[in-house]
This record gives sequence, structure tokens and C-alpha cells, in this order.
Amino acid sequence: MNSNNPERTYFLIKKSKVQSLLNNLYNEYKLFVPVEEEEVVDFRRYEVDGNFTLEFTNTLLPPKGLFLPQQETLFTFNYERDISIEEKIEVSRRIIVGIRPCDSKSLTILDEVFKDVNEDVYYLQKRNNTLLIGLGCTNPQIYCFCSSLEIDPGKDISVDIFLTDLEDSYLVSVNTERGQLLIKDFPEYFEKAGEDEITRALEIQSPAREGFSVGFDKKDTEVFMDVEKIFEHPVWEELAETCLGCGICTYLCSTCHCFDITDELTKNEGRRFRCWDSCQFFSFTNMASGHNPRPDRKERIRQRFMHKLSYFVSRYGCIACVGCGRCLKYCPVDIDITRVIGTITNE
Amino acid sequence: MEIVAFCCQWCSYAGADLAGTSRLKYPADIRIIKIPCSSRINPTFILKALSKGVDGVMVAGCHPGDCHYATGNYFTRRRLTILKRLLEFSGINPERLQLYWISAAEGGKFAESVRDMVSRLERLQDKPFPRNPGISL
Amino acid sequence: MKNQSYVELTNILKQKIDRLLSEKIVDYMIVYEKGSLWFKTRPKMIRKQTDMEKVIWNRYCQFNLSTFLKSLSGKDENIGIIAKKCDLGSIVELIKNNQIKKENLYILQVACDGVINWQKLENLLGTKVAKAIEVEEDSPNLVIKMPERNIEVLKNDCLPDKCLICDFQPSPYANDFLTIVDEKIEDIKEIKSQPLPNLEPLDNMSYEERLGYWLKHFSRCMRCYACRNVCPVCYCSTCMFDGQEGLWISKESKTSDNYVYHLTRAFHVATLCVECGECQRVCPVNIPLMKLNSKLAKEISDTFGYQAGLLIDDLSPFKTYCQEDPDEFK
Repeated sequence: MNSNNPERTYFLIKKSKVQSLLNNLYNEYKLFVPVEEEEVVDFRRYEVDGNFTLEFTNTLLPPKGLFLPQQETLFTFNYERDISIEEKIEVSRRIIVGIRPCDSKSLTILDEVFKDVNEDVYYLQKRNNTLLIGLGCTNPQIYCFCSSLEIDPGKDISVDIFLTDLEDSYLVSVNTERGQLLIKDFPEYFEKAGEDEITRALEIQSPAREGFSVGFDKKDTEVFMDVEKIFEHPVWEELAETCLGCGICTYLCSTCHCFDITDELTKNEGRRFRCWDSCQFFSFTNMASGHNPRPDRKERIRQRFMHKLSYFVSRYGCIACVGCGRCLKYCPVDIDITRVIGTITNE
Repeated sequence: MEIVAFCCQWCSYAGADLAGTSRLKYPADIRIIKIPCSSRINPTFILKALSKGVDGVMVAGCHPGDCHYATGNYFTRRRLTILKRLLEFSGINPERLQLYWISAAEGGKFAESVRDMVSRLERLQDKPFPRNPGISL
Repeated sequence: MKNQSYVELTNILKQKIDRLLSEKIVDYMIVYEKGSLWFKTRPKMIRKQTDMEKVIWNRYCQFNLSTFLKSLSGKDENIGIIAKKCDLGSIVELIKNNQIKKENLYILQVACDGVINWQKLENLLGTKVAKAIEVEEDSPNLVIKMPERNIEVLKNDCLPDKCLICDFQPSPYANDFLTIVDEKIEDIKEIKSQPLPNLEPLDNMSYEERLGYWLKHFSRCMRCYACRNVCPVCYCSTCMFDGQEGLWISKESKTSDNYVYHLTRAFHVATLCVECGECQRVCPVNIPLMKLNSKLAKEISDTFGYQAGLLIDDLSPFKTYCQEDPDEFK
């Protein structure tokens, strides 16, 4: 989001000081940190001296929910003699700590959608108000395949501040002016990083770039641009046989962004809200007339893959997938985007 | 107090009518919803009402053996017995759900049942379902 | 079971399926195939004998394939299915409730001594799961061979709850039972019975604590409906929560509506649930759904003496009644 790109600067912060820094940030920002609960790590509001973890592989839910919440009231309205409308736009300053490179890439992909034609003020306002503190991956999950999409798990310049784990401290790479201002506000926490720490960080980062168990060649996805050829490919039929039609892959996807808008009314007041919807549900495309252009699992599962690998590419020039591996990990029937790409290209 | 009462149209609803025409007094805490038979009750009706924060749900049907559809209320009895256990397990006092057998001739029993329901609910120590549960960001 | 036994069983399985397909006893066969990762398998329908090499049987075949037998209405095909002992229960329920005809079904029961729950295994191994080369069984442990050193985990720690109380015996409803001579089922039965999900802590809570417990879990629900879709006995062709005629629950994932959804789901399958545990397994946010199901199964068993999934001729307690039924109502 932040386009100004001053020269990158490097600092160090001791791991033991992180909690105290968060406590200080808490006074000025709405803070979101990864928290482990019921064996699941997710971004949650940070409270003073609250729990957080920076030792995790990836959050269950992608951070898209902090910008496009699963349910969000857009405005409330009231009709007495006149109609009055009150818009609900989040204006508070926020920080997200511990966002992984794949997830921060997904936000830049979502930006394209929400900036397109009609600017989506609800999303963009939150993006502008939010400072991102990224965290490099040193130990990717077995499900990850970000490198297939040319995302570097050890480096991220799209976030304001990026942390690299150096065992007892983090190397703090500051990418934006906003990030620098934050560092300036809390000088007592940061020390200047030396050349050898920066090189050490690069060395630690490098193992993360290898050792992926799944993946594909990005060039292979070009076949999806030939829509007519791929549209009636037998693979869709095959996937539909076992797909359960649940919404796990779409809800956990860091780039899926389809939503539904509904009005809720009581007597003379009400609200309009939007909430996530999934192309995997029958009701997603069901029309008032009763006609459904995507009546079966086959059409719906095709839509998901074609949207990511073809339609999105022709509109925005990039694949709507960041290789975070969530769909792979949680799909109950092990439907795997890397395998789908493999099946189609290996013919 | 807010009580949702589902009354079968053949017996209990007529019983409520009779209570009205007989000018019997009963607490004004109930909202009656007419249903064709007590077995029309889907557990969702009850769960939905309770989840909206009402104090109790009252289901009223014909006496066992007197169902207009011969056997509907026997099925209701089985289902609600189990549903009460499920409510209890999920943290709702099962007293908040009651089933009464009220015939069309029993206007008095209808009024008595409403009084019974209200006094049961008044005795409860625990709270009904919270109005706006959930953790927001 | 040793790896070798799985290989042998897979070979026998392939021969059997080959015969079923070539003699046109079944039109297609629902089997397991290798998943994307070493500890995963995925369901697969095979129609051609050329697909035969995909068939696999190993300790990671935890999916209950009978879920693919629901919502088949209208299609008059003969189906073959690989079933574990635990899957037989839901098949019985589907037959009992006229979702599929017994004569259209060929059930191949395979010897099983417990299947590994992916998530449990992954939680035990962490990111090391990516480095595993091979897994061998050394009862009661699983030995996971790694490049540097092997890791041993207790097999029971990786098993779903249902395996801990399973007897792994052949079912009377299976058309065929596949096992191997040198590892008899009796040997497999080393795993001792343990109680089902322990409901006591919840039973001992006050109403408010219990409601708090459930609402905390339900607040995480994102309504992906995986628990409903994966359930083999949740077979309505149109779910009331997807219906067009009315919105029983808001499209928003409100905690109060999630409560209605989950309790309704549990109640709707109360007399059908065979506690296969699939709903809880697929839940991405780890809601302990099996506690609801087990509680209902227990109440139904206590009140009506009925257990789902045992006999095809049993009548579901909600489809019948007795004049002498317990009546706690006035």
C-alpha cells in the first residue's frame, strides 16, 4: 500500500523485549498478534501482557479477515421521518505483527480487487491505517509452496517492517517511512544492526527457500489462459466426484474474497452488512428465478481454480494464489491445487 | 419475561381460545405461535427462539392418544425428551423448555400451564441465552 | 499392522476389485488413492481397470468413504466400496434409511487395526513431518524414519478416538472381508478399550460455564459446513440451512446462529450418528463436535435402548413410538 520506498535500514530487537514493545504499542494502536488457542494459531487483539507467539508456521485463518472481516456492518440506517444513514468505517490505527510473506503478498493481490473500478472504502481505509510487521519463514510447513509463485519466504519488502529470526533477537528490516517513524518513536528497543548480523540473517533465510514438498512450475499455469481448452477438461469431473462442496478452501484461502451483501431490518431501523461467501456453495450463484448457472460441484470447483489461475490473471496480471498451503492442509478430501496444475500440464 | 408458546391448532390453541372466552387470567408473558400439530416442531424452532434470548419455550399439544393426526404427539414426546437433554448439555437449563398436554376443552389447564411455566422460570438461578454473544475484533 | 501387510492387502484388494469391475458386479468402486503428502490419502472413484494401480490401502486411510453413498438418488448404479469396521455403521444407517439399496452395494471390508489421524500425527511431529522418509510399525510404537534420527511415537496417540474402542471384527453386512493369514485380527486386537470422549468435565459444569464453553467454541465457527457435508448420514438433498424458503440462520457467522446450527445438526443426525468422528476431524477450527454427538447417542441409548449402525432391521427411535414411553411432561 505504502509506495514511498526510502533506503532500507536494519535494526536489532532482543526477543525478550518484544512483549514490552507490544505493551507500549498497545496504547496507540489496535494490535493484532498471532495467539495460540486450542492448538490453533490465529491473529487476535493483543491485550497488555497478553499471550502471543512468533514461533508458528502459519495462522489458521489468513489475515484477509482483518481487512475483509467474515462479517462487517457497512452502515446502519434509521427511518423516522427522514432516512438517516450512519456509515461504519474503521478509522483506528492498527498494527499486525507476525504476518508471513505469503500472506502479505495476498494483501497486495486483494488490493488490486478492492481498488478496481469502484474503490472499496471499507477495505482500503483499513489497509491505509494498518502497519504490517512481517516475519520471515525459516521452517516452512509441509504444505507450503510459496516458492512456486515466486514468493521469497525469507524476504518481504511489501510490509513496513520485516523481522528475521536470529535465535535470541530479530533482525528488523525497515522498508517504509511509516516503519521508520515507528522505530523512531521507540528508540530504546532497537539497536543498529551490524553487517555480520545482516549477512547472518541472509544465511538463515536461505534454507527456507528450499525444501518444499509440493509445488509446480509457474510457467505451467499459462495453459489455464486457454480457457476454451481447459474449460471442458476431464479433471473437473474427477475432482467433483470427491469434492464435498464445503467452504474450507475458500474461507481459509488468503486471496479468496467473494462476499454477499444483505440488509437486516427491524421495524424502522436496520443495517447493511457483508459477509464471506463461497463459490463452492450452491446458493452462491442461485438466482431468484431458481436458475443456477453453476448447478453442480463440477462447475463450482472449476470456478475456483479457473478464477485463481485464469480469470484473475487476465484481469490483474497475477495468479490469485500465494502458496500458503491452507487449502492443501485442511481440505477433507485432499484436493490439491498443485496436483490439479500438474494433472493438466502433464498431458 | 418472554415465553414463546407453540400451540397445536386442534387442541391447545383451541384451549387458549377457551381460556380467553372464559375470561381466565394468565400471565401476559407468552407469545403464541399456532402450529398444525405439536410434531410439526422442528428442534430449530426451539433452538432459534432460545438463542434469541427468550426465557423459555412452551410447546403444547393434544393429550397422548388424542392427537388429531392419531400419533403425532407421541413422536413429539420422544423428540423433546432428547432435545431437553441436549439443551442441558449445551448449557441451557432444560426447565426452559416445557411440553404440556392441553385439550380444546381445557381452558383452565391452559391458564394453569402458563402460570406453571412462568413460576418455573422465575425460580431459575441461571440466565437465559445471552442476547449478543460472541467475540468481536 | 506391518508395512508389508499393507502391501499384501493392497494387492489382494486390487485383484478383488479387478474381478468386481471386469465381471460388472459393480459399475464403479469407491477406493482410496495416494494423497499429495506421504501421510494422506484421498477418496477416488474408479470405473476402469486401467485406474487399478491407483488403489491403495494403508494406515492413513481414515476417510469414511460411505459419505459418497449419500445423495445418489436417481442414479441406479451398482457401487463397490472399501469399508473399515467403523464405516460399516454408517453404511447400515444409509441402507436402513433407504438412501441406498443393499443389493446395489458391494461392501469390501478390509482388515484394519486403526487408522492414523493426520492432524494428530502432524501435531506430534511439527514441521519435522516434511522430513520423514518412511514409517514402520513397532507395536505399540510408530517409528518415523528421519534423515538424522528416528522418532518414535505411541501409535495410540495418533489414532482417532473411535479406533481405541473398536473391535475390528468382520461385519455381518460386508460382502467380503479381506485379511491376511499371518496377522490375524486377534493379534491386532492389542489396542485396549478406552472410554469415548470424556463428557464428565462438561457434565460437572454449571449451566453458565457449559454455555460459555460451547459459545466460545461456536464463536470460532466460520460456517464452512464441512461438518455437515462430510457426515455420511446427514443426507437431506437440500439442507434447511441452505433453503430458499426462509433464513433460519443469518448468513453472518453469528455465535448465536452457530449455536442453532450446530445443535440442529447434531439433533438431526442423533439417531443416525455412528460416531465415526468425521465432523470433528474435518473441522478446521477444532470444535469438539463429537461431544455433542456422543452425548446424544448416549441419551438415546439410555432412553430408548437403541444404538445406531448395528442392525439394518432396527427401527430408528424417532420413527416409532410406544404409548408407555417416558413422559416427564404434564
